Amino acid sequence: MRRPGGLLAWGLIAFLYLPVITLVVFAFQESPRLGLPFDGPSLRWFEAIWNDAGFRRALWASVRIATASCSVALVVATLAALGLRRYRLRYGSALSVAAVVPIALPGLLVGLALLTYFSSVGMRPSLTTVVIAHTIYVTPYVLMVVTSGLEQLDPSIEEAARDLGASPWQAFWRSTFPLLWPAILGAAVLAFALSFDEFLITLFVIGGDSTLPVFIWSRMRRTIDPSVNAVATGLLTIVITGAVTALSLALMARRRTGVSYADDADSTATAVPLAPAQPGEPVRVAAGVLGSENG
Amino acid sequence: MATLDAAASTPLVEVKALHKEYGSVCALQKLELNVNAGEFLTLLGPSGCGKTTLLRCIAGLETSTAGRILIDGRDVTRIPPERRPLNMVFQRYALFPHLNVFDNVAFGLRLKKVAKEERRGRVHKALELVHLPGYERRMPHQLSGGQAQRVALARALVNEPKVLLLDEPLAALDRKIRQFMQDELRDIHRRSGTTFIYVTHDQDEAMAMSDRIVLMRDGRIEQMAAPGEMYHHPSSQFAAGFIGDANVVTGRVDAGGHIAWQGVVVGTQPGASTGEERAVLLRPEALRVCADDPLSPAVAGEIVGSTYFGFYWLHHIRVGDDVLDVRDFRRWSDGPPTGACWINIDVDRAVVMADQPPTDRQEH
Repeated sequence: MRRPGGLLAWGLIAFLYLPVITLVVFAFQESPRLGLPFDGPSLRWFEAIWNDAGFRRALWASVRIATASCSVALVVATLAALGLRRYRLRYGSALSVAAVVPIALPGLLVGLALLTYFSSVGMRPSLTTVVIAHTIYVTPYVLMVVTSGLEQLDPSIEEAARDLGASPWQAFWRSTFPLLWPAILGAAVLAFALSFDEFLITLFVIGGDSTLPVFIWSRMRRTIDPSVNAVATGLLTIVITGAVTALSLALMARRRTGVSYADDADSTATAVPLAPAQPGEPVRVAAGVLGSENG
Repeated sequence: MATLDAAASTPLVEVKALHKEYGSVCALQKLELNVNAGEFLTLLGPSGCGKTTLLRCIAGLETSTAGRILIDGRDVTRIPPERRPLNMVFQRYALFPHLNVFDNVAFGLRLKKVAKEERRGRVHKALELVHLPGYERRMPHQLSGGQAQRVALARALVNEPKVLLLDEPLAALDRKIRQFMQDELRDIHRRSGTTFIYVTHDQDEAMAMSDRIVLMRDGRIEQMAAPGEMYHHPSSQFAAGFIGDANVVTGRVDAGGHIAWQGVVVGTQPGASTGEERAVLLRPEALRVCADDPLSPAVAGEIVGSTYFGFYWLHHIRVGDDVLDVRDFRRWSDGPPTGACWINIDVDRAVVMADQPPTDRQEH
C-alpha cells in the first residue's frame, strides 16, 4: 500500500522534470513543428545545428569563456579561502560575508553595472568582458565550496608539514592539496557549469559574438523549430555529464585509502606481517578520527 | 639521566621575556624559562594557563608579541617553523591520511632531499625505536590510537631534532594505552637522548615522566622544580592543590615561633610575630583517621562524608571550620565509619606555605 506521501513526491518530480523531458523529447522531432503529434525520432536537427557555423562558434566561445573564468576564479577563491582560514584578520568575518553577498545581486543589476563600468574605462563589449563578468559571477560559489572543503580538514596536518620542514608552498601542495582536491574539482565543475549556463549578465556585456545560451535565445527569436531543442539538449547533456563526473570523482576520493608516494624500492618486498597487538594495547581508542582496523 | 645543573652548561632552549597577547587576552606574561639539553621538561597547568601557547611559540607555529626564543644560543624568534631544529608531536597525531606509514615518517627526510638508501635506513630505525617494525605499508586509518601516536613520534624523531615538543600527545588515548605510552615515551627519551618539552594538564603524567616540571598559571610560571621537590615543597597553595591532593589549614603563630592549629603544633616559623596566621599544607599521607585512642598529636573531628575509590575510602572530616580529606585504606564490610573520630597528624610531613592563608575556609 503506497503511502500518500509517495504519490506526492512522484507528482512533484513529474512537475519539475516534465518541461525538461518534453524539451528533450521534441529535439528528436522529425517535422519542423514544435507540437504534438510526435513524429520521429530523428536526428536531423542535431545534424542541422552541428553544420551551423554560428552554433559551432557559440559553443567554442562558451567553452573558452567557461574555462578562462573557471581557472581565474579557482585561483582567486582558493587563495582567499586559505587566507581567511589561516589568518585571524581583523575584518575576516566581514570579508567572508562580503565575498559571498554578490550571489544575491540580481543579474540585471550586475549586468548593467558592469556595462556601465566597462564603457567608463573604455572597454568595448567582447568576449573578454564576458570572461571578466563570468569570473566575478562565479568566484563566490567557488569560495563557498572550497571553504567548506577546507573546514573538514584538520589544521594541524598542515602545521605538521611545516614543522617537518615544508615551506608554506610545499606544505600546501604536499599536505593540504592531496586532501582538498575533491572540493577544488567540484568547485571547478560548478564554476564551469555556471559560466556555461549564464545568460543575463552575458547579454549585457557581450558584443557581437554569442555564447551558447545567447545563441539559443537569438535563434529562438527568429525561428521556432526543434533546432532550438537540439541545442538545448546538447547544453543539458554537457552540464549533466560534467556534474555527474565531478560527483563520482568526489565520492571516489572519499572512499579511497590514499595514494602512496613511496617509490617501489622503498616499499620493500618483504611481506608485511600484520604485527600482533603490542602488549598492554588490548583495545583501540574510540576516537572518530581513526576508522576501524580491517582484518 | 639528565643533569639538572643549569650552571654547568648553556641551556639548549632559552625563553626570554616572552609575551603573547590575543587582543585583550594575555596568554603569556613576560615568561622566562631555560631548558637543559637532554632533560624531560613538562609544562603543566590548567586549561588556559598558556602552556600550549608557549610550546607553539617555541615551535614557531605562533608568533609572540614580544620577547625572544633562543635555541643553542641562536635567536630563532623570527625564524619560521620549517627552519627551526625542532619537531613536534601533536595531540591528534596529525598523520597525513593520504600517505602510508613509511611516507609519513619519511616526509621530513624527503623535504631535506636525503638520499633514498639513507632515508630507508633511518625510517626503519625510527620505526624500530617506537616498536613498530614492519608497519611501513599500513595507512593511518588502519592504525589504533597508540600506534598512530607512535608513528607520529617516529616521524618527528627520524629528523634527529635538537628538541622534541609534545602537545598533550596522550590526551586522546584511553587509560590503559596511556600508561603503556608513558612508559614508552620515557624509554624513548632515555634511548634517544633528545630533549623533550612536554605539555599536559595531567599532574600524574607530569610526576611520572618528568625530570623537571614547570607549573603554569594565567600565563605565568608558578613554580619550576623536580617532581619530588614540587610535591613536598610546593611554593604556593595553587601548586600544592594542583599536584597531589592538599588540605590547607590556617595556623596561628604562638610566642615560641610555633604554628598551632586546633591545639596541635604543626610547624615552626622563626621570626614571625605572635598572632600571625600561616597556611599549612597537610597532605593525605600525613593524616590518619582512627576511632579512638589516637597517637598524639591528634585532633578531633567528625566524618561528614565518604567516597569510595576501590582500594581506599576518602573521608571528608570536619575539624573546626575546615573540612579535610583523609584516606582510609582499611576495608569496611558494613560501610564506612561515620560520626566522631580522631585524626592523627604526622607533623614531620606538614609543610608551611609561603603565601598568605586563604581568607575563606576551603570546603572540599
